[in-house]
Amino acid sequence: MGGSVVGIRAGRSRTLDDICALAVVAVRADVAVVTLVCGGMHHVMGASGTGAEVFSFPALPAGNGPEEWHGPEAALLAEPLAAGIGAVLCVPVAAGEAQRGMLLLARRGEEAFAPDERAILHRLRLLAEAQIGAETVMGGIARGALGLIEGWRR
Amino acid sequence: MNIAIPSHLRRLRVVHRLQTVLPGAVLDALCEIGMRAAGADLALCTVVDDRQHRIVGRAGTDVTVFPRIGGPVAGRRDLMLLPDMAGDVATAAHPMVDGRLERMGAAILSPLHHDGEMVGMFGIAWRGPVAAFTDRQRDLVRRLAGLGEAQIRTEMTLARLAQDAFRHLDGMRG
Repeated sequence: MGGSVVGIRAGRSRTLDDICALAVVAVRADVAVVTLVCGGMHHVMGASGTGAEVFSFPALPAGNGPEEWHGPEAALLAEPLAAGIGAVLCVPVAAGEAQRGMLLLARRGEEAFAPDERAILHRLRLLAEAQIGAETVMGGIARGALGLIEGWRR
Repeated sequence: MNIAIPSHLRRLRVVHRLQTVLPGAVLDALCEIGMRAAGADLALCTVVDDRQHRIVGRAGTDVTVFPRIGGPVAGRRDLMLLPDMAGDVATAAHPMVDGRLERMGAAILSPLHHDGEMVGMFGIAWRGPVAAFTDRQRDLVRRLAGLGEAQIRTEMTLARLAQDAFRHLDGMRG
């Protein structure tokens, strides 16, 4: 799993897993994922409540989001993540200038997400974007250092 | 010559650097998540030196600095449950409790560690006493404190990398 697109590392992150685990508790969700889009597919960088690693999600909100789905539509959208989902709340995640992904929360049952839970979602997005940014910087520095070492060896 | 730096001096050096690099939107976001999800009145994230806590992340309060909290809080390595701070002689006269800075009636606090040293605190608080904290509230504070510590590691790493990069650049310039 994973790959590199537009200089952004699209691999699993333990801190993004922790952010998703927090999301599940804070918003009373059953599933939380942070993804980056790579080759038209969503690559999971952090997750809680699902084992999915790569999946298709055709309804990524335009602009700043968020968007919410209920009932059969939510179940269909979240099918690659978990069975029995009745409500999905999703917000785009920016990673650098060119790359996008999403933070998606899903719960079994059709109870709508409350205004407070939507506010929490925006804060969770900020955490996820900051973490992706930090990992990208550190990954870039590590790659730069390896390149220098490789250059010296030659 | 290898001179061992005493533990408390090492901790103060880390705290001093954290006061510079830490304040930011990520810690504010952790506090707001904690406050909203736990149904609390305020949340804060601090770095602490020998005398005072400096708030580096906050929600629901404008306080920036407050004296160290002693009593049941000093030296703890896990969650501190304070259901009635005004009724507890160890905390009742603290300015964050008696109204001089804030009126915290109850709190769940977690120490924040970096490199094995306690460098700060994350907590959510209510302005009145709380009969019993729920498992979910305790779980939230543990998770948020864990992410706070991850943020401290990230910021310290980035600060060190930037410092090293500038040192190498200076070296290359001669």
